[in-house]
Amino acid sequence: MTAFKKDIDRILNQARVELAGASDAALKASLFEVFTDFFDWSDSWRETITFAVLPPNADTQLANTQYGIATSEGQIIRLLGVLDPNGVPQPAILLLPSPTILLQNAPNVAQDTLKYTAVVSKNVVLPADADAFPIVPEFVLTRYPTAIIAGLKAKMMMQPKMPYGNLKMAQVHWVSFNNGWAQAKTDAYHSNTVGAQSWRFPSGYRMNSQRGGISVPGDIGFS
Amino acid sequence: MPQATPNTALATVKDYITDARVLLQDQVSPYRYDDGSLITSLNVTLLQARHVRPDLFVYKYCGEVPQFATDDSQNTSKVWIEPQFRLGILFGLVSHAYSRDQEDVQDAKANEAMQVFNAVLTGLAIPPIKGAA
Repeated sequence: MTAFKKDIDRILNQARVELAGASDAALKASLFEVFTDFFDWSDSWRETITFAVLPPNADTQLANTQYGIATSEGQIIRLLGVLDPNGVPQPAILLLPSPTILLQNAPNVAQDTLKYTAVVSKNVVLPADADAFPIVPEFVLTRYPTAIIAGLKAKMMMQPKMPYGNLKMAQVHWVSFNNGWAQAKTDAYHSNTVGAQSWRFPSGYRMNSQRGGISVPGDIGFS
Repeated sequence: MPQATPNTALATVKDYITDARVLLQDQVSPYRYDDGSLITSLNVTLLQARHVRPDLFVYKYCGEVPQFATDDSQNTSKVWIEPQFRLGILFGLVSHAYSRDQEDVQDAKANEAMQVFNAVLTGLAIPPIKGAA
């Protein structure tokens, strides 16, 4: 769900008050950078995408291991993991710019199709909405408004010779923004729990080592 | 929460021309500053505004500077400048109009108007308007 207009207006109104002399156009342009950094560093905007995987059969003895995936909002930037129908992590990488999952192994079960689940990290992308505000998920403005407004003030205040330019305060707000996206990253990786360790599949079944001569491309756990 | 009616002051070319004539004290025909020259002053002022505040032209004009026809004094075309900067555009227009005159008083008024233009677009406090020396 995209951000509500009331949350967007609140962010912009707060910025207008504290950044006197700033234009709305400059605020929206800087906000795109703020969201880009926030999601890129925190991996907090995630989506679970299910895709059908075809095993080899008599007609296609060489199974297809490349599967394109897509999202309706934002852009896919990172693959966090792929699970088979049994919840077992599968080694895979993500090819960009056209998001394509490349599985290391094709399934060897005798079924027509299997549903694999990919968890991806996303980021903002153009075009923005009709008001030139970046299209972002609802949670970022309801859960991390302080971080977003701090990042916006930091980026705006870095501009010298502007009425709202203030390098010292920009540094202060930048620290607050960094704390904000770091918290978002922690929340995402700990699945919004308190005191729990980040989830990983039992180590006995994890295949992120070189033992047995099997090389695995990339991290496949939810670390 | 009460909803305010959006301020439409200085929203169109005609608004700028009308208010500029008040500042120029040129409201009775035949005009000292004809409509075509005032619209030219507006176009030139927008060029200078693009120089000091390019962010004002990023979205509505895609980074380009608009140009308004000088032969249409009733031009109701909207000038898409954010409300807090419109006063600066008006004074920039007035400054350009004063600049063509050769009297010392007009030069001083042109400079003052240009200072207001710069203050509104790049600063906060509008400098006081001084009387003629």
